[in-house]
Amino acid sequence: MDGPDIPTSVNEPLDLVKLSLSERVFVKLRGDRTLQGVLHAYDAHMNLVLSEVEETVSIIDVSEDGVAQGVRTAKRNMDMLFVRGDAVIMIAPPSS
Amino acid sequence: MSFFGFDPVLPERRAPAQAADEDIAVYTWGTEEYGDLGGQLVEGGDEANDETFGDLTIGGDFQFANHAPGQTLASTTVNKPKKKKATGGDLFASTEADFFGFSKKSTKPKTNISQKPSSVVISSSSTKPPTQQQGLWSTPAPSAAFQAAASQVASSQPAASALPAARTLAEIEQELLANRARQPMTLEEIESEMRRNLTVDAPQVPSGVAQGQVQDGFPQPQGYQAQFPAVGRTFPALGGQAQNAQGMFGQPMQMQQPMYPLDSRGPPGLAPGTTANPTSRERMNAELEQKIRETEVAEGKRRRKAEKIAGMARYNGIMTQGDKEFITRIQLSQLVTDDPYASDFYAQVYSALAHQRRTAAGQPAPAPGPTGATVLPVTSGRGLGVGVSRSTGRKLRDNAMQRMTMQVKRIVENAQQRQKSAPTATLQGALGKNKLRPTATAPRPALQVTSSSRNTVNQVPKTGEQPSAITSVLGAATGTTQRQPLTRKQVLGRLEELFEAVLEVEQIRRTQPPLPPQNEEQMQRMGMTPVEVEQLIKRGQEWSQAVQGAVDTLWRKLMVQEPLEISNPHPFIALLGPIKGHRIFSRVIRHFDHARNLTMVILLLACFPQLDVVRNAPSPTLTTSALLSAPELAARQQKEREFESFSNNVINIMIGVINQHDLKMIAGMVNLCLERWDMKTVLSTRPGLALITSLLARGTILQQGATDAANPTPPSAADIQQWDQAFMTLLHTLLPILSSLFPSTRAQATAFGPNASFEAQMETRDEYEGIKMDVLDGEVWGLCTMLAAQATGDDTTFLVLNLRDKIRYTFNSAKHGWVSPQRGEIRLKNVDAFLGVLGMNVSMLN
Repeated sequence: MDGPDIPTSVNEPLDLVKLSLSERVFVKLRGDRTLQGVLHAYDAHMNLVLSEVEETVSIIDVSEDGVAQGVRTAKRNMDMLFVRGDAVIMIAPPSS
Repeated sequence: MSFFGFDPVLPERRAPAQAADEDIAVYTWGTEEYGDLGGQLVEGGDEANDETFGDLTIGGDFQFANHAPGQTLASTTVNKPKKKKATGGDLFASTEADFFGFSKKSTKPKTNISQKPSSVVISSSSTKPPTQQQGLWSTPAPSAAFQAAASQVASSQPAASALPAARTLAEIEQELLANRARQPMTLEEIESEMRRNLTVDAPQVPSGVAQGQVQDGFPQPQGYQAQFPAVGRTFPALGGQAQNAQGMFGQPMQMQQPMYPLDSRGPPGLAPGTTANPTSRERMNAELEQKIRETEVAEGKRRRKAEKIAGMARYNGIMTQGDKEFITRIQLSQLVTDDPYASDFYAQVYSALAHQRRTAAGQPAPAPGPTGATVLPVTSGRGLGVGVSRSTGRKLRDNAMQRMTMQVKRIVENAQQRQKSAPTATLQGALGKNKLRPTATAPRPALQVTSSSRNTVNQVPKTGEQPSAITSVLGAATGTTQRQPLTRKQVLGRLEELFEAVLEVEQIRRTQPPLPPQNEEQMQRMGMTPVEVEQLIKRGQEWSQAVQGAVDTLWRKLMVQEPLEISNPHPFIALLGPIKGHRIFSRVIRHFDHARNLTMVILLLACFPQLDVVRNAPSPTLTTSALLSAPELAARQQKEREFESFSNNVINIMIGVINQHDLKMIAGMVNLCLERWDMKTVLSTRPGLALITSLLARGTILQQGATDAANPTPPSAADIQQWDQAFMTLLHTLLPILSSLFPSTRAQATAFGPNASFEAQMETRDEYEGIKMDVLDGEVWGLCTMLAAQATGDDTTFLVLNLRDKIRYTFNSAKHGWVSPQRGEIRLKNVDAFLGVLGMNVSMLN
């Protein structure tokens, strides 16, 4: 199916991340956080450098007796961000 | 390390340090300078020895030394410092001063004078009757005798230190002797008084306080002796040597010293009769207790500090400067790589950018390194990446760099030689795989994945092989092989390969060997032999071959040579989809020659409508961004970013290439555009507009006979004719659609239907976006201006007729204040430029 002269140079999972360099990516992080930003660099630990990042934090409000009151999201924007790899759960290309 | 200027070094330890450096008489006891004087002293004072030391039991109050009876004063004073110099004190002498970095002059010699003997006295306490010793140093009673003794001591010390004559010394001794004769009496008196006092107080004060007082205020021999072993334990390493032990014993006593003034202050307060009030006594006791505790804490701190210092001081001065440099060399040699650019890529790029920025800012750019490069070459092809230094301290740094380079070079060469000469061939592999580079610099990869695809171009033969599954997008009519367009993933993958290829080309270019000398004379000046020149030429050839190979690979990877109709979009066009594709375009173009660049530009022109930025160009709209939802807004911004990037990295470079060609080629390009473009669609986009405008501009300039470096001769008549023909066709294609190209018109059309009247005041409300729209309109006006400049005769009339409505509306909107003054100004300027070319003026419209 693929064009014959385009080798799919995917030898390891991280090669897929390589394809998203300088592209907008969606990153899921531990602690109910997600990021959307332009990926500039990554390494084997999945440490990332992102720019124009929008971070979304999901906060679940819990009442005193432990009943969840619903989910709020808090957002913030950052120009440049270094993400430590141990928090990364998932990196995805933009949904479009 | 020193708080508030407090000198943290124990005074006792300072003394030898000073003795070593400063020529102060006190510290030169036992050295030659003093030796003579000492001898004189001995000679002069021998008769008095019996008197002085005789059969009397010697008290500890004689503070010059803990000499045994019968020993001469001279011998003891000479001996003492000698011992000290040989022991711990000397051990720390220079090292500690170095360690704390304080000036040696800051320590006061006077404290040393008085304290040194004290340590001597106390350190000898284990062999002396303790009670007498306390008499001088620990008894807190303000007895006249004690004060006298103390004053004597104080006065005698400077005297002794000033190398007094034998006579004065004898005097002092006599005085001391007299004092001592009285002293036991007074001491016992005081002591018994104190004890009485204590027993009276005992029921009232807490036992702990009483105990503390007994221990601290009236130190018992047991108290001291109990402390010594403890001290000895705290310095186990040093305690081993007998001499050291003695030196060290002195030290804790020094630490204790600050307590004495306190203790001596306490008991007077407790003196019987003076404090009749029990509550005040209690308060006194409490205060005393507190002070004791504070002092103990402080002392503990001091002791810990002293221990630490002593512990560290053991390592002071272990390494010589040579050792340190050796280690630095080892560390640096680890940084030397075969490929200093690639292995330090980011630092290199950063320093290059910083360099540029600084140059742009008009600041003097510092020379990147001693060799004028950001890499320190160690041996040929190897080196050490260094960044551009700050301008300050550059000279110093360069010197250091030069020295370091030499050192590293030596160590690398040594390692290479050892590697060569070592007879390891037979043993190789005997202990398993042996890595030359340590794991720190070349860690074993966690995943052993072979990257086979790297640097391989899987060019599949294009003829005779047609994948059956492929369905044609353009239909089979063209007859050429067709394929599915590249998927997004393929595009991204290929772009990564391209970046690697570009980096490789750039890398190879950087390693250009020096040019060989052109002639004999030059060769001699460079001091080269013909053989060397030969080698240099050969290296140059190899290098250019390598560059050529890498560039060819890059070219193939760009897929420019694929047949025009192979897919829609063409693979090369597909690569220009993502923003990083735009960047690669601007980056590869300088590696290719003229012909290849032209091929690329022609391919781009031919397939221009397939471009993402053209195909998915945003249509102008009157909707203000305030009304857009967040995703729509993000999409719009993304489009704008893409356009910006495309126009910076692709269009501008294309124009650069276009401007290198002659009129014939420009005419051909215009014809190509006419043939392959849907003019209305393409010219509705800013990239298309920009490209056509610049083609026209170039053509106009050349037609008018301008010449430049790329175009030395004026165009021939045939060329001009060709150009005129191409222009006429273009003009007639554009005339009907020209008025609908304006973004404002199109926006109105989308909002209110195609037949909306021009006269309606349909303006976007948002000022910022309105201005933007007017500026975009200006780009179309620019095209119109170019057309008007070239058009002749009737065509000019047609042009004006076609644009009449737009001109009038634009003019009116500005004049009648339908838009803000700022926008009106932009509009008038747009129209004026167009009319100006036709020899008209805005004012004529009135």
